[in-house]
Amino acid sequence: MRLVVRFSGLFRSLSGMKEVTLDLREECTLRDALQELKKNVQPEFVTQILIPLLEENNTGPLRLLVKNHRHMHSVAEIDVPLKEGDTVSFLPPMEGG
Amino acid sequence: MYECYKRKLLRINLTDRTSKEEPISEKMIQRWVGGMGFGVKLLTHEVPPTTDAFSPDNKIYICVGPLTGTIAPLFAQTCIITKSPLTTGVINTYAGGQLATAIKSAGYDVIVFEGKADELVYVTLTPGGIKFINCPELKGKPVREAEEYVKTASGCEDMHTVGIGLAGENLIRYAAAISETRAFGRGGAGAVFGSKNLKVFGVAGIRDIKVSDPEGFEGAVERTIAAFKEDLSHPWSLLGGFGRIGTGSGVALINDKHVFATRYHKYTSFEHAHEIDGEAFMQKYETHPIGCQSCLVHCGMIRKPAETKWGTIWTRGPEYETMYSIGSLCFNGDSDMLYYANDQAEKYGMDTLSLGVNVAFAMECVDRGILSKDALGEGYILEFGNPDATVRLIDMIAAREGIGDLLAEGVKRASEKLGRGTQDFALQVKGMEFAAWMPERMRGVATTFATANRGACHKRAPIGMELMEFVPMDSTEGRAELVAHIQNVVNATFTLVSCRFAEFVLKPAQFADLLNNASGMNFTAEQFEQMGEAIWNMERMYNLAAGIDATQDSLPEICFKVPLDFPEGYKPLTHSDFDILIKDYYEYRGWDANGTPTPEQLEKLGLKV
Repeated sequence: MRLVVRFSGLFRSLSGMKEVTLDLREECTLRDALQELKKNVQPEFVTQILIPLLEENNTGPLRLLVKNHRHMHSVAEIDVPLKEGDTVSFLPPMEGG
Repeated sequence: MYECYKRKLLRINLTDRTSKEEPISEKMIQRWVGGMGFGVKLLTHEVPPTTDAFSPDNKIYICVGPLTGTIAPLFAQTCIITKSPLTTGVINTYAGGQLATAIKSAGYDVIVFEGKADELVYVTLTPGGIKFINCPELKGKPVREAEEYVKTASGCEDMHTVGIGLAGENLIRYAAAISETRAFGRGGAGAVFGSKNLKVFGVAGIRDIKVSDPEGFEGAVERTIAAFKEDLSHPWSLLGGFGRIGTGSGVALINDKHVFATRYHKYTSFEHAHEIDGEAFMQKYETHPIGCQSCLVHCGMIRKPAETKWGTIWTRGPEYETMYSIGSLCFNGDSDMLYYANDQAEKYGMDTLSLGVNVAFAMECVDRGILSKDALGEGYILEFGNPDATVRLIDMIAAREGIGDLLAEGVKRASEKLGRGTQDFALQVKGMEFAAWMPERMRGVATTFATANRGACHKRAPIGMELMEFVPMDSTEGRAELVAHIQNVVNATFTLVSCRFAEFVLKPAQFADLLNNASGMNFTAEQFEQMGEAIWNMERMYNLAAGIDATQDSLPEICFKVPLDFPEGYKPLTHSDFDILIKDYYEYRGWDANGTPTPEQLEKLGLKV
């Protein structure tokens, strides 16, 4: 399956790209996809975002990760298998008033 | 005790061109702390609720806070309280910059403007005294030009100013007062300046700002700075994004989450969002971030002069909310137009939020066959997505020319005049036009827009909680508590005249820590929050007496229609949901079924029945 990962704001410059299409095996999880993503993005994105998320279980980077237009609030949620057509983006957080 | 206060108020009477100092009592300081607390207390006791906002009997309270001018970060804003010509209720509005420190350096916690000058004047307050100077030569001048004129004419290099442009002079009901590119935007404070023939107020003083416990205060500031620095150290910091790109950094997320009101709420996302967001502006226009005094964020994005088809201009911003109001809501994906329109709004002195909603309302009226597409005159077609029409209509509103005269009154009054069902889609509550965000999508936003004392305002809404889905955005559960809590806390922080962003990082206890060390008082976090609640209720009682009753805790019918691209898996807002939200909110607030605070609740808050 293919998964398009998009980047916005700071994460565009950190990753060095606007988007990337990952070729993944069927039934793989978002965690697998993010591991694969490590090979595609600049090292800064790996050290500042992916390692804290994947290896240190830091929930901070989860604030940036939007899957199918929804946020996740537990690192465990990235272990759910992906489906064809899923969308994943790294987006800066926002507050209102 | 109270060393961080000047303990003085200055009344400036424009009718007879006199001024008078008054002491600010210990009781006043202990009870209402400063900023918004002082302003609301004074206005609600000095300006009768039925006073016309444009009457000389209305007053303008320019307030600073106990932390103004200190080294505490994110407390550089100034607060203006007046009776709003847009809502007819009490309005509190804020701007950053240097004005607050100048006022405190001049020796005051509050400046009150009363009466009405017989012709256009500017007023200066310097160590040399107060001057009232007629200024017919400034009539119709852009704010920036008028401010520079006053500074030069006064020969005072340290002067900081607040003034109005053509919109304020023409009593556009959503005219802003502008202080050196920073806007006191919401609610029409600029029009109240205009009604008093006050073009510019300039102030300078000798800085002598103390705190009660210098050592303790330094510690509190160090703790505060550490909290901000810790937040800013993460790539996922919200404020870090604001410092790099400005408030427009959030557009990509908002658009992705389908809460970006587009083409007058017909859609929840905008295909051209990436052409008008913060990142687009950083790439297209050379930008220099600036900050207020002692700020660690630097969210103000000053752009270098740029060519547009309408002329060469420079501007600060636009902010996120303008990207919505003049951008997506009007279906405008032209960044040059947004850049230019943002400058128009500053030049004329207008709230970009209300302005954009009025422009979009006119476009929607054309779509529905209520207004003519030729309403702008020859060579213009009034329609969504037309940048030339937007620029033209902004000029017409500021000048009250043609259809601009109708829209200068705001969408509430315009729709009452137009009839034909326009009230159902006039995006306003209590006369105040919608801020960004969609009540259709977010229940906390629906509750806030309907119940806020300022009208459809985003300033005290649990937006982050819903947007980032820490709570389900389409659930009524727990929303009353969530909304009331943030309304109370933000009101409390506005007694310190905190930047709104401070509350994104600091907790009430941290605000109280700074206050206590600066003033010698001893607020607990709970007392601090309860003071905010008391102010909220004081505003509510005043607004009720002004005729803003529970029927105005409502949303226009358009909020109960489902946008065409409403995302799957979410529930749109229904009337029954909305009824639950309001009922729960009144109950949580200790108000009766008519939205009136009960005598018991007022007594609990220490307010007179």
